[in-house]
Amino acid sequence: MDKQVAIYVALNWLAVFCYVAATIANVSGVVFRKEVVERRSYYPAWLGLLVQSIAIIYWWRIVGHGPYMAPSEVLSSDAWITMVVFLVFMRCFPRIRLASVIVFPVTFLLIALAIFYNPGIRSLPPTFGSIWLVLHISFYKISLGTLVIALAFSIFFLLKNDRVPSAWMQRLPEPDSIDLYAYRFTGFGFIFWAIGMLAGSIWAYKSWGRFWGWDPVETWSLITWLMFGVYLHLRRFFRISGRFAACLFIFCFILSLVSLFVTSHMGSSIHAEYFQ
Amino acid sequence: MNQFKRFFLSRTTIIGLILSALTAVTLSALIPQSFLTSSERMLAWQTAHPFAERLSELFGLHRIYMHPAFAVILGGVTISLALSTWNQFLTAWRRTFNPERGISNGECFSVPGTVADSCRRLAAKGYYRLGGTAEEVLLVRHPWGYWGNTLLHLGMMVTIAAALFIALTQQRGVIHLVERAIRQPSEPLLMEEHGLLAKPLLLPQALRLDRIEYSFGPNHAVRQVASTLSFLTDSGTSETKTVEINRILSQRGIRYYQGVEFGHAFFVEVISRTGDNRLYQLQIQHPETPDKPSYNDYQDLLGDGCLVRAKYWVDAERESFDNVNPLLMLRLDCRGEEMGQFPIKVGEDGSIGPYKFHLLAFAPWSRLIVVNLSGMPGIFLGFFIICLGGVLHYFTTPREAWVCNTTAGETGICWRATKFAGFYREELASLKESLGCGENHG
Repeated sequence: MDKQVAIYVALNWLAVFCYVAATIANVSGVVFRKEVVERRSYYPAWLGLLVQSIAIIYWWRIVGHGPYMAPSEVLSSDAWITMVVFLVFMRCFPRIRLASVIVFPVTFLLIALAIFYNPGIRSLPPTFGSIWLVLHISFYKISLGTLVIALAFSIFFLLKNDRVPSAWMQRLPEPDSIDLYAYRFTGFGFIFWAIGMLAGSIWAYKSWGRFWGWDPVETWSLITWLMFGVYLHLRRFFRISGRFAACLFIFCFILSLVSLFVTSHMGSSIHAEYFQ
Repeated sequence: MNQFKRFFLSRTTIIGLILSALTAVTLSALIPQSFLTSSERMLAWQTAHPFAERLSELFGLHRIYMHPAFAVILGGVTISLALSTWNQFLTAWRRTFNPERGISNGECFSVPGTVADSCRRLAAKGYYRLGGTAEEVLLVRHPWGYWGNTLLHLGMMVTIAAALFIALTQQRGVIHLVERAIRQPSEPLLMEEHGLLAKPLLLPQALRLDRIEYSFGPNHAVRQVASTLSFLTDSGTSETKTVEINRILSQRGIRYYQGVEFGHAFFVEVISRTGDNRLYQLQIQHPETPDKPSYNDYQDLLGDGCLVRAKYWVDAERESFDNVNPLLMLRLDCRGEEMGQFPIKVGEDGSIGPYKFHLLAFAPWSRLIVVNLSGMPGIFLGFFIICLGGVLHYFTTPREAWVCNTTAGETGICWRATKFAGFYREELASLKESLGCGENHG
């Protein structure tokens, strides 16, 4: 068992090393306007993703369930999905490429944080063996990935509107476009969050006949979703944009982190098994 | 009617309703709700927060979801969503089947060739003809994207309506069945809940737990629990079925869910000093590991205000779950002081104070959740519509191209993405290139 844990931790460290290398190359490529370096930063990022995928599959085989119980599994899979979501969306929307400056560090920080938790084997409660649970968790993770991209653009907006913006900021699109990207990726996050919430309620109904139980995790997840709903409607109907929209998004993002990582510690419920 | 519609569709009302719902749910997360919190915990919170408690009493904040104001918010949200869905439906219908002439806020450019040539090239790029004449044509890529917002809001409306219907009409409860014991339909359910429009649930048939089977995985984690039930009729016939975790059993419209809780029930005969003889059934949940006991407390079980505390090991040797030879430990606390305790196995006796205890037998018990509700297909349907609407809205933005003849003998094209235009600049550039665009009038 110790050997298996050691292999898993070593693989994760290797992934962290790759992501750190990718981050350094990426950020320096963007800041110092070295396009070749920036382009090549994706090689270690892909390598890190490959190593991390092997680590996740390896651990999945050992513990017998997906990466969604122990904090180390949750954080590591969140990092993996954030990177995959970014790479997939970058293929569809090449203009989001510069979000890598935020996405790469977030990825390695998540996985590095995962390593500091004990990756002990957590057994899966019998009610957790449902495809709806897998969908429930996956959509929340995808939602987090899209929200990280939106966070990147909200931060860019605030930086670019600084009194003395850095020279590398000139490479970023116009503030209006940055604002639009943040808006659109928040929309993606809102939809994926809604699907995750609904898949969870169907799982709950299939497992114990109750589709909503008002436990802290469910309630805070609903609060977060409503908050993003307020953000999107304020943007659409009241045309809020710019600095206020970016700050409001960052508040919503922090709320989503609280919902995902803190609320399971707030009370006893089925969600109390998660992230403990 | 128009005023009513205008009110519920006004941006201030919509944002006000969302903010009200957000406030209500946030308050419910911060203030313990009476339907979720035990009376002891509620009392502790009230003692610790006297000011919040006064506010909570005054405004009914400890029962937000039963509050008339919350019903008004929910009603307002539903009406607003319904009206907005209808409006969006009309807009999507008009854009799809009766589009306006021309494009506003588009980027216009000229290309060589005829209108028909341009239409052919656009069609090859996934554009569909939605309207126009031989000289003026509207082509749209992803025209189904017009329906995304409609479906997104319709899905939310269906989900809210179904959830409301379920909340008002559901019946549910819990039963703890001991192996081989018969449960009569008239017996009340544990943790019974029913909606405002429903009566308490009564099971239509008598029920017997024939057998409970459970298995453990590594580290003694519960892997599966299954209960074999016999449904008994008045004529004496029975129907046998099995319910497992994640395998629901339906019988006469009632759904039975296997709970994860199970354990052993101990039949204890208690003889008091006066010679009164009574039989008690003590149900205790299965321990998590063979070496650790599982506990349960019974306040005033014997009618003297004392607390009977029980714990048990499945295997008296504390080695394995396979060897079911339970050891029960009973303890009596009166007025906060321990009166005594003793271990007991089946057939053995023990005494504490004025009481003599005799363990007659034990049997496994299983927890079943019984539910009678309809409306879940509405939740599933709403889920499907929301997913579809989300995909159409965010992933298939319609791109419109208005193609017409120009006075210079070329073909004029006006192009726009209906949403998030900044995302599709490369697409416009590529489109211009493939259409052989020269001069840009944008």
